[in-house]
Amino acid sequence: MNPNIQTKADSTTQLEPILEIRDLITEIRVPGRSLRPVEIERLVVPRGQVVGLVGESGSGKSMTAYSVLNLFPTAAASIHSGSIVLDGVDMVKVRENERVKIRGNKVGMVFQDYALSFNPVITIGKQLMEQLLTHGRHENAKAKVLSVLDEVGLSAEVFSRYPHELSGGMLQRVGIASALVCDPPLIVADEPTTALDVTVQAQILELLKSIQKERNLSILLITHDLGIVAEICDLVYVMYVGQIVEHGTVHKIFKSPSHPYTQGLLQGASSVQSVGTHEIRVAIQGSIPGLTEIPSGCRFHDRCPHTMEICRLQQPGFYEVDGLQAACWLHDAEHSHG
Amino acid sequence: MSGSGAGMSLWRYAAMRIVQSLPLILGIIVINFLLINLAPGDPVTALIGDFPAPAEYIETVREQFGLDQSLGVRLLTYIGNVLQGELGFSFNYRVPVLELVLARLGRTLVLMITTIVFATAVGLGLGIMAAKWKDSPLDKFAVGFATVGYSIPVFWSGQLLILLFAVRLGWLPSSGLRSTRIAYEGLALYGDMARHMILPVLALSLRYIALTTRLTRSSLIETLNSDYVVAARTRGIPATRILWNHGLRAAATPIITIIGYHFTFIVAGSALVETVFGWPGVGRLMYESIGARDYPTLLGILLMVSIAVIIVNLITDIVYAFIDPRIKYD
Ligand SMILES: Nc1ncnc2c1ncn2[C@@H]1O[C@H](COP(=O)(O)OP(=O)(O)OP(=O)(O)O)[C@@H](O)[C@H]1O
Ligand code: SF4
Ligand SMILES: [Mg+2]
Repeated sequence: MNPNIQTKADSTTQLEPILEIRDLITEIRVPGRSLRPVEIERLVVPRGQVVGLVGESGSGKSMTAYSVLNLFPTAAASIHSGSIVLDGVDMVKVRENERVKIRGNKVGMVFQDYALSFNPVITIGKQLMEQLLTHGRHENAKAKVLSVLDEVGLSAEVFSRYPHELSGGMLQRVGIASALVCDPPLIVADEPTTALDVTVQAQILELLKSIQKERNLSILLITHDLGIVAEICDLVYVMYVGQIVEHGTVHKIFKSPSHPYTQGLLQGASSVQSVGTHEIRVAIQGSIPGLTEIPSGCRFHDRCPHTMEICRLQQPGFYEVDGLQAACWLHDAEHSHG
Repeated sequence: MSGSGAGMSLWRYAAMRIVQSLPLILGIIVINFLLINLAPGDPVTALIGDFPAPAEYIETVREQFGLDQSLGVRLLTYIGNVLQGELGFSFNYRVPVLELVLARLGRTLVLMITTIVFATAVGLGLGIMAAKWKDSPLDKFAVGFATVGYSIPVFWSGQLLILLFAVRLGWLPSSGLRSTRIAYEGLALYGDMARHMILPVLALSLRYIALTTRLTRSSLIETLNSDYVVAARTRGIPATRILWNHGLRAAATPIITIIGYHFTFIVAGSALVETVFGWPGVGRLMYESIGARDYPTLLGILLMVSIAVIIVNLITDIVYAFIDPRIKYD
């Protein structure tokens, strides 16, 4: 590991990471073929850190989040191969009845569509209780639910409310409460603020930040909003067409991004006020290719301003550049001179 | 219930729906009145039927229903009579219509309630299994059964059942309320009546089972694919529990709707079934009254059935609102 990482990371890197993804391939079966929305060589969430996963729409961020739970919203998707070690348990190898005990218990998930994450005809309290009791937390279950509601800034009254009786911001707080209720060490948050009003976004982000500190939580935060990354993340992974193209500390990525795609993302973000906008801004020509038309070699080659011969032919491996890891031929000694 | 604002408006909603259905009931009474008065010939005939009645009784009816007065006054008198349960006199059976209908009502209700309970249970079970094992042979059978069951007319399935189980196999009685050869008593009598009920209930249930199966299956499949079910799974709620707790809760609303709004169908169906199986209930009474041109009885039954349908629909709406907190009470 890099010696320059802050002390906080130093103390935790000794421990086994809370989440480690290796050689993950997730596939979606469509008539006649199988698509691969996720092909991640390695992604690590160290204990007690917030790791951002950024990329344009369609880059495979949500699919990665679902892969962590080994649970997909569509039956067509599944994990093809690889390993996802979550708190010591491989979510790919372990049986489904074991995974059920881990979801919501060892890892909480927060969704963008807070309005769709709760059963509309069951009260909030009952749904949180259901989760606690399912995971065998029978003792003082109601008190636990009330305390976690309080922790996310909601009054005890919310316990007996139905989802439609709450505002978007309140519902997302409930979403966070549900992710926290079993005291998991890890939270996966998929665009937790994207669907909210700008002022509410800031409040929810503050809440996540303070809870993370309070509980020393690990968070895998999926977002297209680089402002959020800068504010809350320790590490960041940049994703493009299912693959990680660059990763490192937030500080370094913002200061001197090494991958042309990351550079494009950052330029786009600084050229407009990106906080609160729904679409990620990219100062790059063209648009992200679909899964049926993945380019050969470096997947970014048809949009990259620095494309070379080799880029079209061969996929680049990772190179260490000033403490960052970037998958780009520009950093290969042989090609960088061209 | 939280007992707060939401609960209050729910009760208000129920009260409002009850008040709203009063004009409807009044409308039905008026239509019934018009049927009596606009029928060709003397309205007295419509009220006492084609029976040779003593002259002084005709006079009494004429007075009681104010037939010598203007249409408006007569309407008011009629409404007053109906509200007092005065529905006319059946000369065919020589008893007041209300008494006649009430005497038979219990038998029809037993048939209908048994059908609703049985068909709902079977339809629910079949629908749940079909949804849980979607695209399995069992699911295909359920879908096929639901399609066929829905399209077979009651009188046809009834006769088919009689042919098979009563005539050919001789397992079950084909008609009547109880055995006439052996006089059962006590518990045995109930058993005997239950045996007589099996075929009519089956005939009446078929379409209901088909409807409930189809609806349970489709609403469960829809629910199990919804976002909140995916979210519940990410919280570690096991699939079976999601099916029972979340899936069936969502399916409850359409199922109650089916039970409520197809009540009319069960009423019509029970008239047919009672006729086919010689079950002496209100449906059979209706059939006999048509044959005997017993208008007072027919009109009385019509009125009571219409009001019953309104009340059941009203109850359905209210139960619906209690189950689904999102229904707006305005
Ligand atoms: N059910 C599906 N069938 C086919 N393709 C799918 C399906 N679900 C997702 N995909 C594809 O998988 C890829 C990754 O999708 P994913 O939702 O993970 O992207 P994302 O990075 O989360 O985007 P966004 O920022 O819009 O949420 C996309 O190309 C998408 O079209
Ligand atoms: S490998 Fe080539 S195409 Fe890909 S980002 Fe680097 S320079 Fe651009
Ligand atoms: Mg997404």
